[in-house]
Amino acid sequence: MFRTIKAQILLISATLVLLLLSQVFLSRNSQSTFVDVLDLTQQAVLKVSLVRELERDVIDLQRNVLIYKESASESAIGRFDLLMDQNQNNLKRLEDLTALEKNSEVYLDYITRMRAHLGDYKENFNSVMEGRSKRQTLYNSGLSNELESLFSKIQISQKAPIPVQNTLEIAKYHIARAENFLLQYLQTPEQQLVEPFQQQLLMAKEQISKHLGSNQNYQVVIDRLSQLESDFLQLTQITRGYLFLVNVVMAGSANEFLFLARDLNKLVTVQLVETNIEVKLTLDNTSISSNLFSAVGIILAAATALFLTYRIMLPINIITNVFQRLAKGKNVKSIPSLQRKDEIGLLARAADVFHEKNKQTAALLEQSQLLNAKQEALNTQLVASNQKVEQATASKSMFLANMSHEIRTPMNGIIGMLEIVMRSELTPSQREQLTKAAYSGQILMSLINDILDFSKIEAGKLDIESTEFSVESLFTNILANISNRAQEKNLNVRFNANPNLPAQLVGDSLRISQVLLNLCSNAIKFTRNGQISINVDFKRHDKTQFLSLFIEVTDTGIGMNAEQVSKVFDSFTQADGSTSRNFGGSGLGLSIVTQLVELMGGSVSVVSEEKKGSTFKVDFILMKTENNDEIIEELPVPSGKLYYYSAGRTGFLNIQYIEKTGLNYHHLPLGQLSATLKDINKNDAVLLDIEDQVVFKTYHESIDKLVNSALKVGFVTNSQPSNLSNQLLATWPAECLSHPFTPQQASGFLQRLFDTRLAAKLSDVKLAHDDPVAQYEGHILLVEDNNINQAVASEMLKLLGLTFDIAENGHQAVTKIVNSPQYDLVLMDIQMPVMDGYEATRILRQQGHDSLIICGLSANAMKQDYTKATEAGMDDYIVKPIKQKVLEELVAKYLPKKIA
Amino acid sequence: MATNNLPVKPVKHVSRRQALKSISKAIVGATAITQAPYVFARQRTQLRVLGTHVTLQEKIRQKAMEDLDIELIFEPKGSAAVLQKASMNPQSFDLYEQWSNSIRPLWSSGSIQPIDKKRLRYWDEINPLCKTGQVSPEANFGAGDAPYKILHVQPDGKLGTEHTEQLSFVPYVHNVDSFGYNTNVIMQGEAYKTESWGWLLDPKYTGKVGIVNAPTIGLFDLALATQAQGLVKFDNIGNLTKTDLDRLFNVLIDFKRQNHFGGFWNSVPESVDYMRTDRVVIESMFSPAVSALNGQNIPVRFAAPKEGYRGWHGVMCLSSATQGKSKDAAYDYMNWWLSGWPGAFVAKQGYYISNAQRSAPFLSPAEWDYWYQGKEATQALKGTDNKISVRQGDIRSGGSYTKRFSNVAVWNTAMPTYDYSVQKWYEFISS
Repeated sequence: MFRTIKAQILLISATLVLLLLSQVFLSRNSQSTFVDVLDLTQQAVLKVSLVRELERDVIDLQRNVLIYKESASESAIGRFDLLMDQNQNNLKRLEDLTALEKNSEVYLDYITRMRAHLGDYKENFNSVMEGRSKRQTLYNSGLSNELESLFSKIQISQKAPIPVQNTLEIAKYHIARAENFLLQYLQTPEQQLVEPFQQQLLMAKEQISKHLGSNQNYQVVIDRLSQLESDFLQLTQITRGYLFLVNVVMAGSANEFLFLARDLNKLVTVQLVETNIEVKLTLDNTSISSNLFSAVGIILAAATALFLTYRIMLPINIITNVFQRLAKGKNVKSIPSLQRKDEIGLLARAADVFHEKNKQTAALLEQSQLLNAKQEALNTQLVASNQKVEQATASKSMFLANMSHEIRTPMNGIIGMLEIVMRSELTPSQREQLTKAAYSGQILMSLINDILDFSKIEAGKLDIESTEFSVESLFTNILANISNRAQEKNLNVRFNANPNLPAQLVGDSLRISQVLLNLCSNAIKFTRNGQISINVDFKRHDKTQFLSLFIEVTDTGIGMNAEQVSKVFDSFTQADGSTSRNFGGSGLGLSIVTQLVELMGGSVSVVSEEKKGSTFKVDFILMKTENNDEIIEELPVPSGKLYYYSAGRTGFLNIQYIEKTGLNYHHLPLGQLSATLKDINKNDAVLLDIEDQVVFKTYHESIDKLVNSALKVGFVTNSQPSNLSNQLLATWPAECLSHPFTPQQASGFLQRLFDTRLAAKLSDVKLAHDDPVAQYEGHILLVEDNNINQAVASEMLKLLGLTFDIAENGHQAVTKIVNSPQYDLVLMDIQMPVMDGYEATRILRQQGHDSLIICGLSANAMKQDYTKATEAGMDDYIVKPIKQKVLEELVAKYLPKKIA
Repeated sequence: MATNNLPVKPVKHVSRRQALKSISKAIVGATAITQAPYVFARQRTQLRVLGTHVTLQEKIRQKAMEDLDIELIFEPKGSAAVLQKASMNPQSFDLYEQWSNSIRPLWSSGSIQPIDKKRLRYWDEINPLCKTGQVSPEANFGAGDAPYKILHVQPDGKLGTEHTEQLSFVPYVHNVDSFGYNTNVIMQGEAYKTESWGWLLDPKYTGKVGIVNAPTIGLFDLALATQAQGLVKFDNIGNLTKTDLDRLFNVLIDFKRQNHFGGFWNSVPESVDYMRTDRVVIESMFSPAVSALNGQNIPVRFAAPKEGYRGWHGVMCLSSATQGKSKDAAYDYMNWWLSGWPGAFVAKQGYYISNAQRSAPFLSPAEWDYWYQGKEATQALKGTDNKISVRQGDIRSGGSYTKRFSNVAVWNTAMPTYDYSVQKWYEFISS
């Protein structure tokens, strides 16, 4: 049970606590015993003093009784009563004091007997007082006076005969003698004096009675003498009685009382001594037991210390050393205390186990070190190969970038030349062939651009610009780009934007359109028939300058299965292998989209169903401008109302657009057109959805009526059939809006509907577009190292009617300008051997050619390039390959037109 | 038992406890039971008896009232009180019962009247003790006022030995006393041979000697003791002179100062306590106390001293103020006492009656043999309390009535020096 150290320690602790508790108990006990005993001692002392007092008082009582006996003193009576009360009180106190003692019966017996004696004493004293005062009364009032008066009453007349005189003298003598005896008796009350007294009185009576015959008065004397005798006898009786009481009875009581008191005194004294002995014994016992407890306590404590030292401390010390050795990895020959069954034994066995584990650990360590070394070698190899791979990727990207660049330059040459050629007079077949060649060039170019972008992104060299751009321009560009391609496949294109979209936004419009074009191109590419819908929405980020632009591109194309969806954004991957064969493409498009969208803080996702179509959703984070304009502005309210008739609830024209313009309108089903005609006033405008030829024919008559009523009429048509709008316009003098159109186009259309003047102007502008190329005056320095580029640029400049020189590099350019500063405009390539464009421009500006217009040419349409160009002192900047139109705009900006 | 003017504790002063402890077992005579006076339907003659507890016992009162058809009023008091009251106020009582030593003071004070011998029905049966002074020709007369000396009223009005027709008292209850000793401590002596009054002053028993606190009784015990020890010689131990008393008390006070005496008892129960509690081993005693102690298995022997007993004689006197019907009733009561039953009643308490033959029929032969004949008790004898007071085989110490009354050394006496002795007694016990 007590095998474990814990139990042993608990046992020892419990014993110590028990010991401590018993000591506390003992000391408390002895203390209370001591107090009790002290009490006892005090009580005993009190008893002794009480008993002494009793004794003393009784002796005093006796003294007072004697005084009273002799003198009949009143004060003695007072003192007697006082002492008696005191004695009774003391007895009562003693009784109370001893009532609770074990031998209270003995005390009570004593006290009772003492009380009885005291009671007797008191009663007898009362008798004594009675007797004593009676005696006094008898003597004072009777005896002494009577004797005296008798003595004087016996008149001895001189006239009386001599015998009479003699007898009377004798009688008087006897009376005197009697009085003498009386006085003697009062002095010493002895019975022996009674008889002589009686005898003297008798003799006196005898003498007097002799002469009784002669004087009857003598009879009275004789009677009085008899009375005297009787009184005296009574006095002696009384005296005898109270003397007996005092001398015998009361003395006996007092003596007995004193005896009892002395006995009691002995008893209480013995008790006091016993108490004292008991106290001493108790103290001795207490001290002995206390010492004993202390000794046991000390021994136990010492034993505990030894036990702890030998049984626990030392073994723990040894085991600790063992553990320390084990911890340091030193070898341990043997482990002590292994056989013990307590915690030390457990500890020893633990040490043993530890020892074994130590050995195993050492072995394991060796193994793992070996493995580690192998691992490290592998890692090194891995890092090396990784580096190689990265290098290879980088090299590849670099190569691709370089290659694309290198390919682009000749491609630019080809495309540019083709453009120039196509401006010359050609046969229709030549033109067709050249057009196809140009188209192929465009495809190739876009392919190359894709590769270039991809490479740039891969290389981390693609930057997202943040410039203010027109949202409407963005939409117009996109629609212009995709409309033709959709037209080629007779696909309907619907474009719909939130009319509250801000008109100006800050971001990279080029990249946004790249993304949209990519998505739209794909949609067109993978859709055989049906339509492409583009929805644009946005969300302002409260309290910030940012807003999110959401664009959805939905097609009714072949769609994708889940597996295809999961892979569709990976590089070089198309929905499946057959896709490339059926639809062509590098497979880079969506990958680039993903990367660009991410760069612009957005995301791209797709929802697709096989054979039904796909919806791609993208969003970007863009910034708002200070300008609060929105893409559709409220129109000046015309006097008339707009009547819009559509086949279904959702018409071809977005109702939101109409509402945004603020026009007063009625949206009615197309079928009610004829029924509602009469409601339309001449200031009102009528808008009709014409879906196809069937609709056109159905409502032909009604429309005729409208037109005849000189009402303003407009039509909205789908993208297909594409000739429908021409047909309508040819039939009636009306405006026609065909899908796809931007919000602003819709707004403009509605405005024109009410204001026909505007419509005429617009068509004029349209017509002017096909004018021949304008001619400009000026001398140009073309700084270009590449011969192809030189050729293309030269041809374009000639086309604009400009003269020019060519410099091969920056250095040549500077030299030429310094030598002959007659140039109106310098077209400066950036990347050139010997001296680049920036350097050359800087030198020129330093040399004071401040007014010279220098325009940078760069293949890198990047923001930092533009910034660098401005810093270097360039006035403008155009991107290669140079487009005829761009160049013309530039020239128009700085140079005057030739006057025809 | 019973003594002369020994004060008896009034009942009310004896605690119940004490009574239970010691008295009740043994003493019948010394304790009286006071009862409320009876109320009778018809007027009966009242008789007031003043006396001590020895004879004023309730059983006796009941029996007498029944026998005599009178109303008895007992007034028991201590010896001294009884005497004083009687001598000062004869009108307060009809009959007086006390000891012979009170006769002289009473007679001289005129408190009692002579008793007409002719009216005593059993006078002739009364034994010679009071008539001649001798119960047998060899008997001692005994010193002091032997009853026969003060019984008859002499022609000169004094009391004397000459037989006349008038008596000072009616002789009735009497006995002899000595001392008792504890045979556990003191080897039992031989009656009339080794047992001696001298033992009371034996230095062997210093501190363990008890004496009755009464000058007329204890004085004689001590006088006998000093004389037996040869310390003092008295010419007439029954009539000590002042000089005798001075000599006697000189010796006694000397003893007292050496703490020879363990105590002076005031009542019979106290004497029992003294012995019982070993306060004393030898003391003056009355016979009821001896019976009581023996009843408690304390072996106390009532000695028959070789010097002779101290005798005492009860007296019944007629108040000088009593006349007419009361006087007749008083005579009836006196005669009743000698009529047999009362004598037998007190015999069972160890007392003798003056005409014992008339009481004999009221006793069993065993009782008669034991109490009067001094023979071995043939059977256990019961006392008046109906408890065994004598075991079978016991023999009354001192022998038969005759033997005991033949050995009276001195009678309880009121000596002429009584007043002086009282004074000396006080000096002695208080020293």
